Amino acid sequence: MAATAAAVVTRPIAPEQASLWSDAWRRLRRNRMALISAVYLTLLVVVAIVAIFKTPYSYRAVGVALPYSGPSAANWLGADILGRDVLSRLLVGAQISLIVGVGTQVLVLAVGVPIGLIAGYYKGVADSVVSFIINVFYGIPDLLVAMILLLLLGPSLNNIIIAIVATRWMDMTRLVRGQTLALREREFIEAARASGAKPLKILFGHILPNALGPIIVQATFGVPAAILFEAFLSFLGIGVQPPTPSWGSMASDGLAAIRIAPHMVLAPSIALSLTLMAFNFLGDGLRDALDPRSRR
Amino acid sequence: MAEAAVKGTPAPAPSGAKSLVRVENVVKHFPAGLGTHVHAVDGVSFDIREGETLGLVGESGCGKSTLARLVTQLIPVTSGKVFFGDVELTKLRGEKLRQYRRQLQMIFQDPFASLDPRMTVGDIIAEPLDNFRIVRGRKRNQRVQELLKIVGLNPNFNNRYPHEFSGGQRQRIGIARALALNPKLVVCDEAISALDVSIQAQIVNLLEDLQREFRLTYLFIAHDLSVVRHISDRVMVMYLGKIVEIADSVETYSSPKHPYTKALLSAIPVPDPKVQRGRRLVELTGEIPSPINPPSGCRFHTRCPIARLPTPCAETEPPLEEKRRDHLAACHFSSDV
Amino acid sequence: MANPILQVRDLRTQFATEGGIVKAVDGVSFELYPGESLGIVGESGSGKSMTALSLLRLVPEPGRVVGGQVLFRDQDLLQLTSEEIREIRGRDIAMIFQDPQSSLNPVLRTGFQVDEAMLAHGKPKNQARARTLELLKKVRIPAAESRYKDFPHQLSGGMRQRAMIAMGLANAPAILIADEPTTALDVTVQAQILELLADLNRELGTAIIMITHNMGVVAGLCTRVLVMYAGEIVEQGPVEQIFANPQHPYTWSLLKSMPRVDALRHERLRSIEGMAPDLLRPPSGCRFHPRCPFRIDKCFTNEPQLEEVGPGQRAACWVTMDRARKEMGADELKDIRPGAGSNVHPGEDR
Repeated sequence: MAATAAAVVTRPIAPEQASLWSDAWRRLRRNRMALISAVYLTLLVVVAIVAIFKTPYSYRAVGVALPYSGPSAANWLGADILGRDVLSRLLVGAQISLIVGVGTQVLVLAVGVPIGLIAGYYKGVADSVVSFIINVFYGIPDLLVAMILLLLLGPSLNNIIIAIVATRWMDMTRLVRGQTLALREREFIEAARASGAKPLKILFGHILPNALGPIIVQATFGVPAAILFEAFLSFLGIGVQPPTPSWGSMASDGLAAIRIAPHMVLAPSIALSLTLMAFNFLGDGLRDALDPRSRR
Repeated sequence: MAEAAVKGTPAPAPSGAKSLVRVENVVKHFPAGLGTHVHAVDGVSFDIREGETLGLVGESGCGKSTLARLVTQLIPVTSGKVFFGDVELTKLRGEKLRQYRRQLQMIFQDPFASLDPRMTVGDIIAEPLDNFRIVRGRKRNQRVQELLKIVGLNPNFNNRYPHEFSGGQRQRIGIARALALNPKLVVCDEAISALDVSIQAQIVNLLEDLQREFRLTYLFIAHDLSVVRHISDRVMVMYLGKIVEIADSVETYSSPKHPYTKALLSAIPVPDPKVQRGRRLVELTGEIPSPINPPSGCRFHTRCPIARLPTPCAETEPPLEEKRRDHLAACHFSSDV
Repeated sequence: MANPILQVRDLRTQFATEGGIVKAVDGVSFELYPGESLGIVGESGSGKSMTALSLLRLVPEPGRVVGGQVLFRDQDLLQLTSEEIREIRGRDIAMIFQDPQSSLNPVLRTGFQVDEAMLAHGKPKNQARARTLELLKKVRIPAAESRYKDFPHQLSGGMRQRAMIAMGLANAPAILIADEPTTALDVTVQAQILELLADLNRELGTAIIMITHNMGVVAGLCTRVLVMYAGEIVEQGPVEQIFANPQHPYTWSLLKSMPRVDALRHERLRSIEGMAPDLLRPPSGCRFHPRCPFRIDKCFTNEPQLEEVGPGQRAACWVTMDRARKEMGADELKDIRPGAGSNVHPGEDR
């Protein structure tokens, strides 16, 4: 191949080898709010894990302090209506929130990704059926779906997660379906088919990796939405059942005593707000980092 | 064969008249809503001879890219048959058809869209090998490096990502992928249209070298007749879903037998001011009609400078027939062109 | 020849990017004479479009015109206030772009948009409509009256480009800058648009600057041509001269690398090996030297300036094709490879 070997091009245009992921990471690191959020969330996870083994008091121990007593050296965040330590309950509540938030998104991914991929790639009947079901679910109010499911299944933590997934799977499915619809028309998908790739390889080897950015962003935004929904359900009394604490039920309990013991509402509310904010900032950061249009 | 002799080139001599691909009366309609259809390809028949380069030209919307995907069976035909050798591809489905993909490879138009941005160059080139489980491990890597060298790239590029390369280099990667399975036919769908002029020449020369070295047969699709004429042994011209002319590439220019071919030739500017200023443009009236509702009779009659209306041009469809030896055209008045 | 209508001196346009400064246009000087048709050719990244955009100060962010002069009717366009340059745009110097689809507002009627081009420069409304119809006829849009009311998406690509040209001509500008106006169009439509531009150039005396990558377009339409490479003009002169006797190896190779539709013999194309330089780190000396088959040692270190190489023809090359032909047998080279004329530079890892 003398003729073509002479044309050997020895250098690619970009001098360093940088994958799209390392590019994204480089951009994310420059986003201060996203970085602070990531640090906060990491700490939260660590605290929640530590709380499995060790809390200042047992979260269910009654009367460790005077009921309604405010913050003190022994009880940093005060005590609740039964004299239980608010800090200990808050830490255990963090576990519940994280399990609900992350757990629902794992299930949402497990449901939404394959269904979205299949609907988007095969189009036709599969897509029509999926789109119809999605629209039906969008048509029924979230709260109604969750309440009916919890009444039928009973209010355990697992069932709460299932109930939230039932109200949240559509966004992810629709996103994956849309991404797949767009990606399947791209030339490199056609090129893969032309080179003899089987459908499964195309779906999971080409389409999914290219849709991963938006999927990650969507899942990140899904976590706080699920946490908030759980808090709301618990606030209404159909969520996590006593004595297990959840930030929502703690706030609900505290509401009755907001005049005499505002710390009972403030502590879980602030924890909830900070966590929601952190997830949203992180999601924003990820979206900017993973969006190729923001590349300069 | 006649055309190879006329051309006076060292291009590979097509062996006999043996056809590698035969397309028989192929039709492809796409639904366009409200019960209407886009008549993208509307009853075309031709063959691709072993070892030749068959050029396919036409303007946007003439159906040439659809035809490429029908020949490679990336999309199913509405009706008609595509034969590869003696095998009727249009009868095959699923795994059986997939096995034939080894023989039929494709190079795509857009070097920025046809490579998966999340894969390394090595994995992109090896994908066809992986799909058919041909080589593994160290051998796979060797084959990738060998292919990179064949297309004139540094063999150590296999761990890099497509976005690190320029358009011409990416097109070389696409060519390496197409060659990985030692195919018989390579369909080049506007493979050089997106490249700069100086890079186009590199790729055209590369394709010519590869054809000679690996005895490839090309279906070379482009909208630029000068490039198609340059690389092809025979040229096929499409207009609105129909083939209007198939001829040896020299004859296409010296004695076109269809007024559309003539108009197309006259429209391409020659990079020589003395020649270009003396050329006369065959002005086509009107616009390309919609492929949803193509004109009756000869589809070109609405814009044809020599049409006799209404009879016969608006009423009878001219058949694609031999006007001279090995020179087919679909025109009632081909002697007036 | 008459006095130039536009004089560009040492124009410099740069883009500040993460990786450093990209010198998209680097010291470009040329004149445009009244009524002439000047071609600017080059490949992507050569700076031809940026040169055109710089003239009207339309360079997109983060680009900036950092130096030079653009003299039009005794004023430097680069020194005008943004209000003043807006007055010039569309009235004295009009511009049409590659993609008429995105240059027209999809929700406004086509004719109305042509009207607006005139209303913006103070033409009374009642006169604008009549003039628009006249213009639509002039650019050979059939059934102009009904087309006036059409929305852009109802027109074909060719018709949209005609409408853009009508808009460009609305205020009878002295200069029409056409930036790849036919690249997105089919060849038969391209030919019609080029013919239209040539006729308008002749009839109205509007000077045209034609930005294109297609040497064929230049051959048909232009009287003079500038060849750009890596942000600089490498050769310029009368079209006949440049095509018949190119002196810069880049111009020469570009012409030899294009297949001609009228070729009767199959000749191997002379490709230009390598690729366009990275403008963040342009090559030292002559920017074409890494791809040049005729380079000599001087080309690696010293940047050549445009010098007279024929009647009205100037090229920036230490060797020039006349010498390459005599000493290096340029015409016998089957495939040009860089470095045929000199030892390979140690810095190049080929």
